[in-house]
Amino acid sequence: MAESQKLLILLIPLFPLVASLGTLFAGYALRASARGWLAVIGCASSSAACLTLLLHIARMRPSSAVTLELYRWLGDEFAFGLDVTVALHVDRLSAIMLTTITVVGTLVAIETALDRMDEPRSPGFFGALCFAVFAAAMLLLCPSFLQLFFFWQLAMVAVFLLIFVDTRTRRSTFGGRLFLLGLASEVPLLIGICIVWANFGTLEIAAVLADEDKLALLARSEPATLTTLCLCLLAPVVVRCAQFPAFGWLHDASEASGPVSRLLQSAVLMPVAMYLPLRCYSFFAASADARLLTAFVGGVTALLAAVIAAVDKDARRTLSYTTSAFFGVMLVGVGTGAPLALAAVLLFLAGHCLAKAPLFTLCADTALATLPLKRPGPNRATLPLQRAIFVAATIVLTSGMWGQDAVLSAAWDAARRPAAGRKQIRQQEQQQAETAAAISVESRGDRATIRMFGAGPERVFLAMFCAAVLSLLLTSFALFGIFFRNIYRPAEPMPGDLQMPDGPRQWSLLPAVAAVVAAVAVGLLFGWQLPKVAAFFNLVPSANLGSAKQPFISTGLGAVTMSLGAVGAWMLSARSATRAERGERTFTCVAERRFYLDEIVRRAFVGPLLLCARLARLLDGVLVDALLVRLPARIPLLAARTARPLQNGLVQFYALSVLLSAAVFLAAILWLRG
Amino acid sequence: MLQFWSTFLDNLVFLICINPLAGAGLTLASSRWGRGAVRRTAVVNVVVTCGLAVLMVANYNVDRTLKGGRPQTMQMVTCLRWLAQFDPLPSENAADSASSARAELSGPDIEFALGVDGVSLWLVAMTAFVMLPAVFLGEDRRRGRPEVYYALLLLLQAVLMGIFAAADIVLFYICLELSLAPLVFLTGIWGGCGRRQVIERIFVYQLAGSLLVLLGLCSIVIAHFRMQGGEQDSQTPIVFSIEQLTVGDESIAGIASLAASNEAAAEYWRQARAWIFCCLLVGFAVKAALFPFHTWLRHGSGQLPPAAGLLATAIAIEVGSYGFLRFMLPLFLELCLSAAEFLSAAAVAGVVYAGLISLAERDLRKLVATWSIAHMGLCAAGIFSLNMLGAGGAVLQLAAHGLSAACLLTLACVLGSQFAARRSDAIAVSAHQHRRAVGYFVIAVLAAIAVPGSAGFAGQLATLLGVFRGASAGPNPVCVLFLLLGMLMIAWSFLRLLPLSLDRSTGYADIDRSSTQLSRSPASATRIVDSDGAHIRFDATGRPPLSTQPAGPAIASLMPLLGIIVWMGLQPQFFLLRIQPSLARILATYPARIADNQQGSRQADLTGGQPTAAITVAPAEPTASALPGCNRQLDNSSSAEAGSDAPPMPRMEPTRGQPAALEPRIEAALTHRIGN
Repeated sequence: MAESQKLLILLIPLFPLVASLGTLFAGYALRASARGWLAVIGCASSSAACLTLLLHIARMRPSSAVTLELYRWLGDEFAFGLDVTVALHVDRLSAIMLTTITVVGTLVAIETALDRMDEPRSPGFFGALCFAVFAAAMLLLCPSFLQLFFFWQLAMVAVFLLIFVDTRTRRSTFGGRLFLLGLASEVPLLIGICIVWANFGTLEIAAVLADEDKLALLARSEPATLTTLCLCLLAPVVVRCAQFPAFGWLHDASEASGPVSRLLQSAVLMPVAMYLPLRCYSFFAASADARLLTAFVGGVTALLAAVIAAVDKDARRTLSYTTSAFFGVMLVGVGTGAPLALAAVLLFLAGHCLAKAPLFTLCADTALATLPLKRPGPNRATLPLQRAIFVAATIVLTSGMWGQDAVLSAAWDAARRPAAGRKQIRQQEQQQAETAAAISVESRGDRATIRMFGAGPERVFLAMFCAAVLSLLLTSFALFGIFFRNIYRPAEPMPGDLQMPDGPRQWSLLPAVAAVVAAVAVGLLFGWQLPKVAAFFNLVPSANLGSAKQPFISTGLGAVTMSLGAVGAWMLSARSATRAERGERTFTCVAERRFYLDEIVRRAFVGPLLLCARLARLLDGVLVDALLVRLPARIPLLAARTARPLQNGLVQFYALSVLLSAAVFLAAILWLRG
Repeated sequence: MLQFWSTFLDNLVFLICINPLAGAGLTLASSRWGRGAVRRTAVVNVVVTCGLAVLMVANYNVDRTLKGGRPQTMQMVTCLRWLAQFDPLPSENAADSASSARAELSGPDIEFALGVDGVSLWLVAMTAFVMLPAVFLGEDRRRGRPEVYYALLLLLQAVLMGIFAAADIVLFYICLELSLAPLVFLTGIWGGCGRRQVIERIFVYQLAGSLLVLLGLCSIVIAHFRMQGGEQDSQTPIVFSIEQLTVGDESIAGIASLAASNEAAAEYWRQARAWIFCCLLVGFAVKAALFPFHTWLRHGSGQLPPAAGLLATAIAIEVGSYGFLRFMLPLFLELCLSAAEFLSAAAVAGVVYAGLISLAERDLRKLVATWSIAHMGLCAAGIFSLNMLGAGGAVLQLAAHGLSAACLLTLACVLGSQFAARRSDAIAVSAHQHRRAVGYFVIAVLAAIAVPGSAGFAGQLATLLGVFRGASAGPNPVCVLFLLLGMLMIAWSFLRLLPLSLDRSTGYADIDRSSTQLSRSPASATRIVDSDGAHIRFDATGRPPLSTQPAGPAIASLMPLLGIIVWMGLQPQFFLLRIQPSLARILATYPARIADNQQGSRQADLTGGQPTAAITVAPAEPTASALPGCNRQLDNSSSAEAGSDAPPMPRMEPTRGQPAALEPRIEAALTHRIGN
């Protein structure tokens, strides 16, 4: 059994890697229609291996895991006991994430294979696609922080290559900006890894997270260090999940082709990034300040991105910003620290991965090659199947049953915690005054100490709750807006001489149907069982789950916001285009420039930095080079020019120079003699 | 046959260093058969050198030990007596090694001694492989005399290898000086339009650095002689062996051992070492193009001919870092320790400064030069972190830098047209003509910015972790943060280049749009003058000219380099395992011990006074670890067995086995730090 599990672990990344190399090297020799199927086979085999492994692991104890060691990358004889062995590690959390990622990757590969049958350079794209799935799988299989850092970067490289080899992506800035932001976010990640190493003496994730005593001691004696560590781990997540203030790359990402967008937002980039806070939740659980900041970032992003999505007319850009908003809601869930919130986040993540890909498929389908969907109007997507897929996917994303309600409930609980336990807090404060410092410091783990804009943690959580509710409302409005504008509305005549392209091939929508069905099934099966989901994935200690119950009361909230959003979209978009235009203008003034964030960053950071760079270059040429190179080089030249008149051929001058030299020599000897 | 093969393997390093010299002669001789024959001769010679380098790496046995059980780090040593004074009495244990043979001598002992240890092994091999694209890039056909061009290139390769493989201090310096001559001739004959200024700059500046190094090396030899009591005893040999001077061996104690064992010698060394330290520090900093001594490389790189620029940027600047490792660490470890914060700060400042400059750089070759300056700063930070991880990472980083720089510069020359345009705008256009090179260029850029799976990643990560661990002051996250910021700015510079150069939608029309800073020369509509005065010549259709050499062979020659880059990235342990024993001899144990103590005290604070298992992790150095302190421990164990075999030392005979005596001031400072 153990051997078969280890083989399965090995096969999960191996299949896409082999498919990637095979497609790259042998793809051009294959028939054009068969090129994509090598990638499909690789991804599908990997997802089959993931599913089998998940079934294996589901039968084991919740805390059990399977590890396969491959080779030593860095030996402990160099690194003060830091032994970096490349290994593959799977537990329940990574198994479900792996299954989701590889399944979505397979569906995207199938769609792309069907779509790009005749494209001459498709092997490069399929090779990059498989490589991206491989990198994402390896990231989820990491047993140590250092290996995680390695594959965290490699996943970004894979995305970068994917963008570059895609012939349909306008890559002018998107790839570079995303890659650079990714690199910048890895700086704090490496600092965080160093902090873990310095404080825990090892970088094995399981060992670090299992060392609860040391974690508690760190939280007690150095809470600032722990908060810094959490923020260092959060920073790369913020960038990759397009959270405030790093969602500038999302605007360019909408220029990517359909498969790239689907892979980025449903598989290899954003969902994989959310794995990091879920995996390292123990750190966040020990630091209330870090949790508060996480929730703050998530709530602000959810609101801003939802507003932008609501006012933007480009369908794919709208979808991108809704992704950002949904990940913001997930971060709010992580920040609440509620036992069920993590399970809800995981469920929401799985639902999002499965439901967002079909939406992108439909939008890529409706967006004509020559007329990107910048404005409402002509489209060819009028088929009932597409409408059904779109509505079902939108319901999955906004209705509240796929974990959103639980997140809202957790945020509400966090916001009204003082009212419920005011007496308890007062008692704690009394104890702080009376008892030893250790107890007072321990209480910091439960309640954040920082204040934002003068508000305490409870008010911040209340604001984040409101932001999340508004976000769900606006994203619902935005998604149904796309539906009513571009899918529900019957086709209009094309402007000018443009011809309507051929209708979509029904069978090419099969992966989208499968994804939506899977997403609905996930919600129906597990949406009502959040405590069991939390216990199954061992996300929080089982002791904390004791009193946790399914948040039935708030279940209606998501449904209400979704309905309101749908009605609003129908009123503004479906009925009258003129009214829609008028209605949107009120938002447009605020959000069409994305709150001027790009401009602020450019003027506050990039501009001064480039100015400093030019100044440094000038300084280098004028000052450093002149002082340290040209000036010393002038000294022998000047000496030579001074001595030059002596070389005039007259004996008396030579005699004079000899005498002078002797005098200098004598003086030097006398000086040395003292 | 077996005997021949064994002799061949034992003298492999000598053959590797001599082979390019022979190749230079053959190249000159083959000129009568035309340009093609000259080129083929050079290529064959370089390929043979690469093959020998592979053999050398395969033949380097990390488990080989000396008689006393000490690891034999210096292997494949060839010693040819050059200027030596023989002792008529033969030694009793002359069978062991060259060092034993040296015991027969008295007086000056200058040898043509070549060999490799774990550090120089990779640098020599890297030099062999970097020469591949250099020779395939070819020469400017308009300037003629290809035989001289290739002969000078091969001579440059030989002397650069000689620097890394030299086991004798005089040979080291001769090679160091000789490396200037081919560079100057290559630039003077085949360089760009501003070559005269560049020659002045490089020659004067590098010569000044070399003179400082000479001063320092002479002082080391004299200091060793005087510390042995040579002034009183005429039989005392003047030692020139680098290994004997720095770390010592069974026959002769190194400077650190002498200083630790004898009060008079220690006092002498205490007075002399600061000046020697400064001389070597500045001299090697000039060679390594460290901030603020970097301008010769940045301003000169644009005017060097492609192959010479490649060798200068990829290899020649690594000589400085190698000097730090070879001389500074073993001899001045205590000074390095006391100045660690200053040295780290200077290195970090250099990296950040280079990062800033790179953001404003538009010339690709200058950008690569700036990137190299930043990398040398990173290596210096790793070296002066004074721990195994940092120094090992720095060695790995040196090799990775050489390979990546060679790839980048080759592709810059291929894409940017070797002798005309180098600007990124022109590269964008050339990318349309060299589609195959574009893929390699992306890979080379990714390797340069140290993405996972590349050699740079492994080297940088190990270096950064070493810097974080710090020399003595405990974890140093601020240095790591600034180093990362500097490297990030460099990565930004490269990434700004990529979309422009690789976007298929970029065409000739984009040149006009993107090159707003270019000024059209009024004299000719097909000529553009950039800000540095370099001319970008366009043909009649407005396109820049192609490279004068076919790009295929040059690009193909990058395959082995890229393969090695990936290999190093995926399996750095293979390289570090061979580096480790040599570094252990170079580094003393006490910085690691101090760091471990500090880690222990820090963990003890967290655990309420009880050190945890993680704290008591074994120190970095294995049993083989040595240099001043550890070397003495090894000498202790070996001298117990072979102590009677050791030749009697002259007057100031060191008593081996005594613990390393730290200077009281440093010891107090360290105790204070640990206490805090």
